[in-house]
Amino acid sequence: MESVEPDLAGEFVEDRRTDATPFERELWDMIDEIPDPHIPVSLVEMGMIYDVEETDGHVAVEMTYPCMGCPAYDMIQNDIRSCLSLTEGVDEVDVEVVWDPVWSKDMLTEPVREKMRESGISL
Amino acid sequence: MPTEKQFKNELQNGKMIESTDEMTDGYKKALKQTLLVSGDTELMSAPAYYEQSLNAPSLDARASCISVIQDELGHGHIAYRLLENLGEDREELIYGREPHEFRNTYGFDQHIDNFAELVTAHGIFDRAGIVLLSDIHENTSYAPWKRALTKVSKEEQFHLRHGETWMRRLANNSEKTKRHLQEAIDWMFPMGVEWFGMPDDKKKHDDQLEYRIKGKSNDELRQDWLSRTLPLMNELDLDVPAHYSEDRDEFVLEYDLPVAFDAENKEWRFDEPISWSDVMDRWRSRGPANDKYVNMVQSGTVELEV
Repeated sequence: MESVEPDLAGEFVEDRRTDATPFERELWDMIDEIPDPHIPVSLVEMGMIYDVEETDGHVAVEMTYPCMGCPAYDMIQNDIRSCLSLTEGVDEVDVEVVWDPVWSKDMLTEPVREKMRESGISL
Repeated sequence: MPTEKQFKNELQNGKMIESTDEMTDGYKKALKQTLLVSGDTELMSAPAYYEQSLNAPSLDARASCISVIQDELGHGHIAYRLLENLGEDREELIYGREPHEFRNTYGFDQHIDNFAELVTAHGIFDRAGIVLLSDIHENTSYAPWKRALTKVSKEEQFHLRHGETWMRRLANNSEKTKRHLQEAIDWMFPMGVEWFGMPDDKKKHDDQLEYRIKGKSNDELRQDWLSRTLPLMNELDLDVPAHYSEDRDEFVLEYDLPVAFDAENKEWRFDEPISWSDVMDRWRSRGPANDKYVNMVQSGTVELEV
């Protein structure tokens, strides 16, 4: 087991989220309901969502992937688009894959790690 | 040790088994058979899926297909690892057996010849796997297997969704891709029906059920699979020889199961009924791709040793 700095867990994502307007927070919560297709946690819990910004019905989602060759690359972006575009007040959804900062296991909080361990995924 | 009858009774009442010293010989034998079929089926799906995964129409589709293969190998590993706890040798199971000694489902003894067949396999064969394994996940008395299946179930959901997404694309893309999809369904759908084995009224007793290795009977599992598969067939306007009967409140087949299969041409002869003992003989003599697939898996060890 590699050493983990617990303070870092989820901090980057939490920072982005605290800046959010109430509507943006609702959008964050909706994305938090979208499951990772491979792992029994949500996209937000996986630390893959970096930012959600809404301006006059236009929503820009910044996200990343834990690995370059993600087998669900399209699937996940489609999920975000179809989930958010059904929401009242959203006219358009842009998903941008930013890769920066690079995703790391440090972005997973302890409860999320526990969920993954329980389902047999080693970290 | 309790008597066999008492033991079966306790299992029906929810008793869970953790290790071999809690098992009777009968239990261990039934468990090992079930695990072997499961492990072999997962393992042999990998070579079956391999060639057409490299023929995927986009880089993204290819990454998804390869990831499915990686998952299936992992699932096979879980079953063989559990068999090791029951006294089997993993190396021997994978590398020491002749092709005809593998116990995978007959569907993975068939050549997968184009991308439409590959995604149909993901969409309906993996669904058969989900039906079987989710029953075991929910109902099995063997606790180590139950725990291990949490990860397997989640991953199989991904395969299914990948399969469905691509089946939708092929169904809606052009006449030609729709035709390829229908041709795949024509032989693969009845293969899925047969997968669940002999109907309940033909079985005298079922150790897997009595020891609660699994919880649902063959007919219940087949109905479960039909109930999940037919809505997709209807949505995509694909013809299949089965429908829901309101009178009987169940899914019914439009042919007399079981029927003969012409493996070379991948054609079911619906007007040629056979017996279940004929089906067992066909399964035991293995299908056309059995040698090739086992060789693909076993040849890997040679390259590593060079």
